[in-house]
Amino acid sequence: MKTKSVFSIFLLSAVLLAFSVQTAGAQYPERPINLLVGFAAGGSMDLSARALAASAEKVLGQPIIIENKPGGTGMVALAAMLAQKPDGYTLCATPSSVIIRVSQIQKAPFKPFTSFRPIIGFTEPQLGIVVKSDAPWKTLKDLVSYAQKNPNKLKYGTTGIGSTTHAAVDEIAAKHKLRMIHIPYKGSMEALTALLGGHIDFASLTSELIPPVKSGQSRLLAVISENRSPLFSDIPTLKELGYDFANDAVFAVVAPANIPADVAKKLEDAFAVATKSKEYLDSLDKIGMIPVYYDGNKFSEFLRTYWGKINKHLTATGIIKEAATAPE
Amino acid sequence: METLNSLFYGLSVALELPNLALIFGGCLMGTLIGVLPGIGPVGAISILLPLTFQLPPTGAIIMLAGIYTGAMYGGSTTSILINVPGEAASVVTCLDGYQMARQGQAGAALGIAVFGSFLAGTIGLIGLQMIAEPLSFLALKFGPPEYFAIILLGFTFIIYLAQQSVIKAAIMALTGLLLSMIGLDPITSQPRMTFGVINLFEGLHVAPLAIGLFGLAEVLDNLEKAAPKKILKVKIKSLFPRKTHWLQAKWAILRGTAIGFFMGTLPGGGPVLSSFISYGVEKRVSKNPEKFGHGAVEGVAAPESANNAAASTSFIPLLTLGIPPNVVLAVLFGAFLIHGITPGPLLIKEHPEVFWGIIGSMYVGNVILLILNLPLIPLWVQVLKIPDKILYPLIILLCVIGAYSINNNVFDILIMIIFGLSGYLLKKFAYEPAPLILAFVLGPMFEVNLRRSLLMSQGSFSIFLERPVALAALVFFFIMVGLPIYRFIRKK
Repeated sequence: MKTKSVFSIFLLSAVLLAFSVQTAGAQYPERPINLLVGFAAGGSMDLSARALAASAEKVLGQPIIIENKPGGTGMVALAAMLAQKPDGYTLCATPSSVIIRVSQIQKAPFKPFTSFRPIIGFTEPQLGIVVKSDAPWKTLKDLVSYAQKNPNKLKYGTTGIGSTTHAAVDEIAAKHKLRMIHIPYKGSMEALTALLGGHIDFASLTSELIPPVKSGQSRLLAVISENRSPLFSDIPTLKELGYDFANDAVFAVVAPANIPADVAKKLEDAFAVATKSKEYLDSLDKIGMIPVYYDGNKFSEFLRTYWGKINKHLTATGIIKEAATAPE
Repeated sequence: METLNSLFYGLSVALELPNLALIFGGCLMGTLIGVLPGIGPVGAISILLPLTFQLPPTGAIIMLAGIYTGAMYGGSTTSILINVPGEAASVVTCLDGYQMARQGQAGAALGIAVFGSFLAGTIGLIGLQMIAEPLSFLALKFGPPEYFAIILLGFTFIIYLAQQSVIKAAIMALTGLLLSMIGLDPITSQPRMTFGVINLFEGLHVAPLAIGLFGLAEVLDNLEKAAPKKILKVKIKSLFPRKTHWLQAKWAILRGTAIGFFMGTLPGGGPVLSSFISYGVEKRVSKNPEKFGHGAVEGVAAPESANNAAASTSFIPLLTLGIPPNVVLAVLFGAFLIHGITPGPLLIKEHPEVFWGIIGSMYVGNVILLILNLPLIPLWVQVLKIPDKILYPLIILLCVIGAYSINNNVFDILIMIIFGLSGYLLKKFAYEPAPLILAFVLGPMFEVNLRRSLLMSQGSFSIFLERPVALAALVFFFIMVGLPIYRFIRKK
């Protein structure tokens, strides 16, 4: 009897406590936060999101639980987040390309500019153009002049038609009116395999290019990013070589557009602090991701700027006639 | 001699107590996850990957390798017992394994699968150790034209998967091809047959298809037959394979091993494909091919050996070139990187403890799996004694969990149910699901390699005649298809 009454008192107080916490409200976050990832566990999006979450949960004081929801080229997770209550307890980690590139090719269940409140843009893959180490071309200029003299001779691989890696080569080809044969692959690994097997002459790849370049199996001719890479500081960027092109795929955390402003601010600050931790930076380094930083506003701007550039490339190459999704 | 020394070194790493515990843990988890339909090795490794973050690199990687091999062992269990493939590489095992179970030989089937896996896995390892490097360079030389020709040859194996009408099998294969083309076009990135459904953008997954067509359809079919009692009453004749089983299976195991050994190193080839091909080869060389599909021991021994040998040798391109030949190894590749180790030509020099530790741990893992799985067989066989009114709902529950677990997506359950119902109807009209699955698996590789070849040659089909491997495969293909037609015409 006694234990029973003790138990009921305990239960009652627990319920009351729960209520008081509920009404307090302002103390976000008071329970674990779900971070949806639109790609399978073990990939670069998943691993970088996990690294960021591990660091951010220390700042926020609540666990961040990663939930992988692959599907729809990353769109399923964004749609799943929008279906939840916009209270800051469900966020989504996504590459910007799902919001502004994939949505132009396929109709998306969201509005790229207005459905989301970006929290942070935190990292980008290492993009670059590589050749096999026994190839005769030492610089991008060598490659371009060979292509000029030998139209339709060079075969190159990318991570897929309409991808950033493809757009980069198109930029070069358009400037010099080069004619080359494009073989699209499913991801960097397949394209790299083809390069090392001698089935293509050069490849435009993402972070998977780092190990073979370091081991000397392939040679990096140029990196595709705003600034030189911390990993390969002696390799020029496409911009330095005179091509107006930089990486347009930044990995970000976004929330639904209508989350409370104070919650969004709190998340923005916490994630900004999280990106400074040493463990986080070490983890990024191991998986070959380059740290970058965009706050919510800057990332919104980024989305708008690159929407137009991507649209130009996709329509110019005939992949789409017009964007499949209205941006706002 | 040097190799032997290195091997002993690897074994000594693997037999250190903490490492041994990790291998055991990995093998155990892998087996359990392999037994669950749906979650295959890819899912298992991805889910357990964060758990290894705290471990030293060698320990983490040998545990993950243990999960992989464990899942390959466990995958056959549900195929044999309840006709639900544990993972894609065990789909073919359903054909004869389940029939053996219905004839009271579940123990024999499970035993052959385990021993075949052990032998194949071990032989695969010896190969991994001896000829790792030359083999992986050879595999790199396979370009789109070679793949196209070999996959085309692979399609002829549909004839051997057909148990009744070849025409019906061909219809099923074409349906499989069509289904495999749902999703984004691999070359132009345009959506095909997605009807605006975002869940279809990445295409259908093979697991819900296989679970529905085999598992759910089988339950539905059994419900209607008044026969369920028959399964109950089947006397379990033997818990372990007998001498006759061994005599029948021994060449099948060796042939399966050889096929898996080479297929495993090919990028994109791997365990799934080798299991189908070895089944076809067995049926082709068998003196009584009519036994296949009715409980032929060879039909279990060959594919199970092949998928394990392939699992071992698929490490070759990863460890020597830094190229993961299939999705599982791609996830493992990520695991290496997280632990600060880059697989590739420098691995053996920079991290000999990892390289040889993995090889040593896989030998040890194979022994552990053998010891772990043999006592489980009598236990598994008991499953068949569960009354149907309990067993069938359980199987359906397993099918649902299995389909959901792949992407945490309810959509996959829907797909599984749709294919379960279609599978039931197809069964009524004697259309078999195996050719559909084979074509579904081969379809995307077939298409993309054909189109890449033609991109390379700028539209000229002569590219297939200029490359010796491609040409040889094409010649074989025409012989395989031409001979029966020639005989048919002569008979008329």
